[in-house]
Amino acid sequence: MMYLALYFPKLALELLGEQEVVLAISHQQRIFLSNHLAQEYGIYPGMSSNGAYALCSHLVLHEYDTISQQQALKRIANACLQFTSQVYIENSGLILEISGSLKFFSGLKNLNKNIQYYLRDLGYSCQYAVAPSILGAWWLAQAKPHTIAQRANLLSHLASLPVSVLDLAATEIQSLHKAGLKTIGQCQALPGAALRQRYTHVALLLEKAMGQIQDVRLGYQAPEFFHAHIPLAYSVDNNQALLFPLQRLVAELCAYLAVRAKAIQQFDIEFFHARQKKSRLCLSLLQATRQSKHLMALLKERLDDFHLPDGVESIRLQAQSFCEAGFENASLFSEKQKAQETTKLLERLQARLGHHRVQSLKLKHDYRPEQASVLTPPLQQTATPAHLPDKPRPFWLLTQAIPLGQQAHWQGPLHLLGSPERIETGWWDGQDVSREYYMAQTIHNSLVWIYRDAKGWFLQGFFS
Amino acid sequence: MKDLQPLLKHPEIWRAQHHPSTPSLSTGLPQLDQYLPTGGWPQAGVTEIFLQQTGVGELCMVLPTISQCSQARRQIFLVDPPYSPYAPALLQWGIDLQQVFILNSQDKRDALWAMQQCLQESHCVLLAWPQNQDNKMLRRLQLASELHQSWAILFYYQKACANSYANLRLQLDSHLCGLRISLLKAKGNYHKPPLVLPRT
Repeated sequence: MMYLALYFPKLALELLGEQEVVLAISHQQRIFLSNHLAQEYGIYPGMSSNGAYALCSHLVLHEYDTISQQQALKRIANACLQFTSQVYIENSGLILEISGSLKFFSGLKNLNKNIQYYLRDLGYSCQYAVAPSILGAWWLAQAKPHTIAQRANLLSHLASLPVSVLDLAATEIQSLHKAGLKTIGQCQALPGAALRQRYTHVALLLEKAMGQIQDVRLGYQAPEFFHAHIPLAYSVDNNQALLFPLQRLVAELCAYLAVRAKAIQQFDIEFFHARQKKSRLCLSLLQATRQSKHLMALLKERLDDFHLPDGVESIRLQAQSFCEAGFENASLFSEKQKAQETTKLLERLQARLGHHRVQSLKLKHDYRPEQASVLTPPLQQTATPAHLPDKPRPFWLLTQAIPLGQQAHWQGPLHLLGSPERIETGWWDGQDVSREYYMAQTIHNSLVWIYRDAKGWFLQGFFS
Repeated sequence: MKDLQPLLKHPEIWRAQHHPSTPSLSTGLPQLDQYLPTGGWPQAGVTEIFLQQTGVGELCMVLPTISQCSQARRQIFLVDPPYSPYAPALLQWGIDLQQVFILNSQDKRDALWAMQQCLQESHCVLLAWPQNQDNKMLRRLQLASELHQSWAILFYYQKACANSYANLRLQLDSHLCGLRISLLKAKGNYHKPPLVLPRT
């Protein structure tokens, strides 16, 4: 077995995105993490929150949030499932079992590079280490990053680590320190039986780390639904600025979809405000996808004219219904590729203009002319027409026929052409018609479609 | 003359005796094919058509070609049509309804954006009814359509303004015998007497 541990020391800070404000995370009234701008003011981890405020009055201080950090770890774990099927979640990091993936990714170096690049694109920085045991890798990632330990040299790598990496209670650490045990090497040097008797827990952890006993854990499994709720560093009231946090959420969503071999057709994004009710943006697509670039292009158009009543404090993305993904491989046949391009274009148009402003035309089998043509949402398969009228039909049909009175007169007298076409139908639903249709020429030489019924003459369409 | 040579090589400058070999599509009307300098409708670029009112036969001119395009699975986009197009008529013309999309924009900005997006779909046909002539808009449409080999036809219910980036401009007037077509501008051609197309 081979384990790759990923430790995210700045996760709480990176969760808030890349920020151009003086930002720090506090935990129990003490600074826990600070960004580079805060460090320029001399705000470093360990100092009291009040002290930090004294150094910089416009400091943005966020309370350390265990829940959102755990959620973020789960989302990263979702994404990491594309590298291996076994992912374990630790306190502030992940451990990946990679022995099964080495061949596919052509070697450890390549695999590691892939993972690092991927996480960096999502905006997370991490320290990594590789070791033949879960705990070994995890400890090395925290205290001695970038180590690649083999079974033979694992002990020598672990020996120099301080006992604090063992994640013990403060009293246990103190008692180890009192006994003069500062490093793992010193603990290991003690006779096994004596260590087991005095520090049972420590002895157990060390045996697990050395691979002497099995470390059995339950691997992380991707949940049924995707849910992410991320806080923003400060209240954002510029729509375009929301694209940065959304970019990461969408990338994580797409990674989740890729792992589960699903695609998405509809999802909701909710923006939470301090003083107003949350606002909701619902994105629905013509065709299911899992391409983050396409989703972001649509979101950008939607956000352009999306009204936010107040600054946004946090964003939630929820996706519950998925579709089975078709193969999204590059197609050999340009036809299919072109159809996909068209779908994407129509989605972009819908996102900007609105759904009801992008339409297709469909023939309906009805003898009443005004009912024979309907507008439908695009890309709904239309049936092949079985029957078309023999007489020519006008290219433009008025939604409401213009009454002309008792005379065929419009912009001057109309000259009737040809023989009339009688349409008498619709008696079954109360909208029965009984009309005589003519093609007619206006004095300007244009052709119109008119009819006569009991009420008089009407203009219904233009031949173009 | 020697100094003129480099200038004449400029791609924006064409000389009347050089007929550009732009690929074209037959209009389906032999007389019109003969009249148009490219021997048919241009495959790419912007065509501007000016007319007084709808119904003079402006669509009869282009529909045979559009029908061919739709059969070849090229998309047909109608941006801001003056009325609602009628499905039975389109089918009578032989147009595949699955390739036809109707867009209605809210304002000029959205319309231009939508037209540009459509033209980026390679080999599509765009029919649009803009409210007014805007040279800056035309320039962008002309570039987009040439780049992606798509054809834009713009209909205006007004008189043509003096200059334009479009590579074909036609003025339509109704005539006793049918439709009078005057060539206002075409690449590789200068003045030609108007053509009268009998109404079918």
